[in-house]
Amino acid sequence: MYFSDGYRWFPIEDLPDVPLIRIFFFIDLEDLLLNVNRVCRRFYNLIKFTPTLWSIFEFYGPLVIKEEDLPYIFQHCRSFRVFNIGYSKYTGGLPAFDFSSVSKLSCARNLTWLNLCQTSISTTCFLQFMPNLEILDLSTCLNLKDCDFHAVSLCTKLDSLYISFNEISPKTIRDIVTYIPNIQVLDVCGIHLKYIHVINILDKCYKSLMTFYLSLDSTVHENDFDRFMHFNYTDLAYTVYKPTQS
Amino acid sequence: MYKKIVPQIKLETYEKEVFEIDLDIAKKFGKLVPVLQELLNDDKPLTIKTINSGTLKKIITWCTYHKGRSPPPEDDDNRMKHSTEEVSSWDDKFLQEDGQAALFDLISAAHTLDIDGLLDVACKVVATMIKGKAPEEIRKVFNIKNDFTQQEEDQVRKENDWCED
Repeated sequence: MYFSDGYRWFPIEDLPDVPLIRIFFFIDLEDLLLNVNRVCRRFYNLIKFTPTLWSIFEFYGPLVIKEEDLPYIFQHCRSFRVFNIGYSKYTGGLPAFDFSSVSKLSCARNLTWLNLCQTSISTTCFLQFMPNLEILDLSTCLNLKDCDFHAVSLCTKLDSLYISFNEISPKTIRDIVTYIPNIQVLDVCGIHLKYIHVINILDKCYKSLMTFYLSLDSTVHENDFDRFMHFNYTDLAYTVYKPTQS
Repeated sequence: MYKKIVPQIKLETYEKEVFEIDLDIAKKFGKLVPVLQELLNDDKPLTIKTINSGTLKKIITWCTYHKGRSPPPEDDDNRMKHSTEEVSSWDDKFLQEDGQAALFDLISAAHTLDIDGLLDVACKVVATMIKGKAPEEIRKVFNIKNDFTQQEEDQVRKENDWCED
């Protein structure tokens, strides 16, 4: 049906799939899943079955993920570029994000940004399949052991690494950064470092590092440490984390 | 004095109206460019029945305005941003001034003619109209019929339970 001015009646439903998907591409996944896919069957199917719309898996609030949700969440994990479920709770049958559930992430080989901070993951085995990771946040993952963090060194393209408040030894931190040639941001707050630890770590990454977040051992006086840093690592921005006194 | 000869191509619309378009404008027509170049010396116009005159006029105006402007570099990061912020005020006004039906017609035509820059900016404008609205509001704005059964609606809701606040 054409109007006199040369335009015709053209409802959104008449658009072919490709431009409609392109419109959805500019809408956050959260909005797509909570609103847009409830509009009509066609929108629902396009969103559910178009992997590229799932490339940025990121939500504003912490999620509560149940075991039965995992197949749905991971259905397009091959397309994930960003996967951010930081602070999320898992209420599956097992006490933690266990091997079988998180190992689905092994398919997410295109990930560049992974945030699992404050989650109950108990393995890092999937990291070996993520060679393109640039940003990794594993802060406060209390089910991870020191040995689990060695897998981080396989992500050699990392530029930002957040592993604060974990059971991790200074030696492991040094080992990890040895294998990450271009690391720019390193957050190891909550792990109490002595001078020798700082020297060992920075010896491996000072050339590329731009920002360093750390905590100091009680034997290190902060003013002395500032002088030490100023003298030895002039260009490096660093922040010493101090827990607030209660 | 020599008159500058600008190579032109001829396109025929749904209404059988023939438009002569300068080749340097038609160069925005992505995949169609090789086809159009072959038609350069041809008197017979290329007929595109799915495009009407009003829409083709708008496309020519858009391509003429953006002729000298190269699109912003589209690196991976840009594509990942899902951002709708960088629509210029000229584009925004130009795309919305004739109403919704004209906008969708334009998107469909830009898709047919493979004009990536126009498609991109028009899709962003529509995305902005959808963002942050509840399903019922979206249906109302775009006059979409809810074809879910109650059971299906409950199923969709249950499927995305985990990302509800």
